[in-house]
Amino acid sequence: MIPSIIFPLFMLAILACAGAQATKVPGFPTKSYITFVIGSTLIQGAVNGTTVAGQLLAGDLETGFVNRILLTPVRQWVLLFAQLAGVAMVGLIGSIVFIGVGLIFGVHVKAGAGGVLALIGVTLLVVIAFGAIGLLGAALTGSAAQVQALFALFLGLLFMSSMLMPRNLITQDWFKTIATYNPLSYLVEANRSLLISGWDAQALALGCGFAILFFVVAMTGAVFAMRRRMERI
Amino acid sequence: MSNSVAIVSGAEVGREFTVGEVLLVGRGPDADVVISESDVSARHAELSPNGDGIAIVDLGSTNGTFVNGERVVKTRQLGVGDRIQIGGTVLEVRSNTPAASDVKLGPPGLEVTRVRQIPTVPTLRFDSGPLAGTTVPVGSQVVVGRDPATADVLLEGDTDVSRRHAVFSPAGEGMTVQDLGSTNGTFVNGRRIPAYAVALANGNQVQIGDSVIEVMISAPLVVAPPAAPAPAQAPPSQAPNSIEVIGLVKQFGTHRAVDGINLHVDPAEIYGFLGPNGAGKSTTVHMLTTLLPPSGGTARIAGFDVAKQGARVRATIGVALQAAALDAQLNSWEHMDLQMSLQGVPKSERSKRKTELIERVGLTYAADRRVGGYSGGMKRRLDLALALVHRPRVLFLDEPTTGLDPQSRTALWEEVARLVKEEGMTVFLTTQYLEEADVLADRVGIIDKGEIVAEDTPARLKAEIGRPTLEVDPAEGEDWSAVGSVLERFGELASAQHQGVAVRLRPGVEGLADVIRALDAAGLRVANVELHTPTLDDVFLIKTGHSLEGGGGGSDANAEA
Repeated sequence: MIPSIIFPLFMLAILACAGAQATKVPGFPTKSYITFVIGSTLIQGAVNGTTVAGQLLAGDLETGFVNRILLTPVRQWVLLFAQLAGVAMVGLIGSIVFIGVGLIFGVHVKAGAGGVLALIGVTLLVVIAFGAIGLLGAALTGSAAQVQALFALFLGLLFMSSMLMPRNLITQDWFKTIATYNPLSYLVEANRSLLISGWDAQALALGCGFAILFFVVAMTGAVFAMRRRMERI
Repeated sequence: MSNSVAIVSGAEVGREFTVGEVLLVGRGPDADVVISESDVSARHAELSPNGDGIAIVDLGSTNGTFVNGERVVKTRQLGVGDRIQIGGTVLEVRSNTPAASDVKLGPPGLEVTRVRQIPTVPTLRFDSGPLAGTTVPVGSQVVVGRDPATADVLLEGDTDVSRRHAVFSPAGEGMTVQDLGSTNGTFVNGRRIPAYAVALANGNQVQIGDSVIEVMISAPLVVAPPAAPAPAQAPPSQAPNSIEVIGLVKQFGTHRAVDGINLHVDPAEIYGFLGPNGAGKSTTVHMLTTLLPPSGGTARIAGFDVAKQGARVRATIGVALQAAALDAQLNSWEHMDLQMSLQGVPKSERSKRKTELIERVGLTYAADRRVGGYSGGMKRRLDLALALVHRPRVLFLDEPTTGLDPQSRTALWEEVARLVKEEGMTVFLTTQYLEEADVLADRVGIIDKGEIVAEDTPARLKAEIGRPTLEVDPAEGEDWSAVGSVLERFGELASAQHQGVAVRLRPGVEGLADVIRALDAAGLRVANVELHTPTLDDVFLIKTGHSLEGGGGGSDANAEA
């Protein structure tokens, strides 16, 4: 729970205070920086699904617990999807906590009550996608320590996105280019659109599209990697 | 009359074998046609009559079987004149002519049901040294040494050879060798042999000084009347609790971790699978339990194919792997609940079943505690209970007592024995502990470098390599020759390991009490008595050339080269 919920809340508190002056930049889409940044907080918590799912699976591989499961009627793919179910539950709880804290501290959801549900839905999609990436990492490496390194990687990528500033207001060209090509920017912007713009079909499609793509590729890879890993016992 | 095959190139050119029924060709001791070459697998191929000709089946050999230069994929029909190459040996299929070994004996109506090659006297062939090229039949004891007065085979000029170095003796259908207290030792397959007589197998290499001697032992001609019709019963592969493995192979890249093994485990039998680390034990277990797909061969558990009917196999088996994979945060009850849920045990049975199993493994007192606080022995017991939740018919135990204290080990052995005796379970047990195999297993298969090198009951395996030797130290001032005379009544006198008189006990002589009583009756006093019995490690040493205890290397489970 600490990396999935406490740490993102901690970051939210710091960013909301430190970035408050950013709303004075001409063209900034909202006067409430916490409203602006909470979208990325939700994504930050979701990205941590990588570590949660990956470490759990890697730990089970290391101890041989996976073998115990595979000696029952349970199939490999069911084992993988079951891990995601647990991660999704953590992600759901996290989403509710973040939104609740945000609402308490003045976050306004432009898309209304439906937008709150959509926020949770997009976040869950991202949680599952990054959970699948974590499973892929675990299946490939079989090491909980190596999977944990993925969190640092994705956190770094998140800071190299439009997490702290809209892409059109980023003045450094190199940073803007990275943020533009960084898929995490679109995940953040999907959430942010619900908070600031209302119902933005393009932003939602891009964000959800990337999440679904990550999920499909990672899960397919995880299934094959698990099969190959079990052959190397 | 049947077709035959004759060796036309390689060792023993001219030997001919009638193919009246299935003949196993290979390097192993149970082969009908033994080819002692390193390129030949233990169970390399099978020849069988097929219509008017012969069929050959490659049993998953490493280096392949070739007919007229083409590699045999699985099976091939052979005709007269076809040439089979196995290793460096070439055999030719001959037409229906009565081979010298095709003999009918006994009263009219007696059929020859199994024919092997013509019996010959066990022979030694000197491949190097002063007598290179010489063959010596061993129809009676043959002493090898440097003393012209006592040696039957004189190795003159070789200063590494003692005056009376070793003795070869016929033993049943084969022969034994015993070191006679030589200075530089006698070696079989590269390993120095102990003081007592050691049984030799065809193809063994004995080294005495500079001389390397190859052992040549032929299988006997066996003539038997037609067997009485067996009572109707399911074939072994369909017996409810059996394990049947034919030519099982597992290859990781270029490395063959399991190289064409064959084994059969009867229902309600405990089969011990013995071998050092890296031999292929765990890889074999993983294949039999469907965790690993085989690269070749077949395996059936309770009649179900592990490659094609995995789900049915898993429903039939219980498995306790080398690592007792338990969740440290759960207690025993929670583990049982999880396992029963995964195994699909009906909810109405779960409560009673888990209580019964926890009680049976003696964990009731600790069942409420988290497993993270359990000792190694407790974890193993829980692991065994978890393997039994769904009442399997076949139980696989992969080194179940590794790391356990003697008390826990004994408790586990008792539980396993009870499961077999009372519930008729079949148990496949892998271990590197000789004592465990000796005590628990009905039969033992010894695996080394991916091949089964020996398989039989522990008693027969040990008896095959030698009989126990009793060594008596006469008391000071006692008449040694008198002691020797008494001991001779119980077997053949042998070299003593220490200063004393030794006798290799005849089969059937089991009790020391008889010997002691005889010495006492003769009024002879002894200072010490020692009984040296062959161990499974001695069996392993003879079969593989290295010791099991402290031998082997590498990880058995991580078999990638």
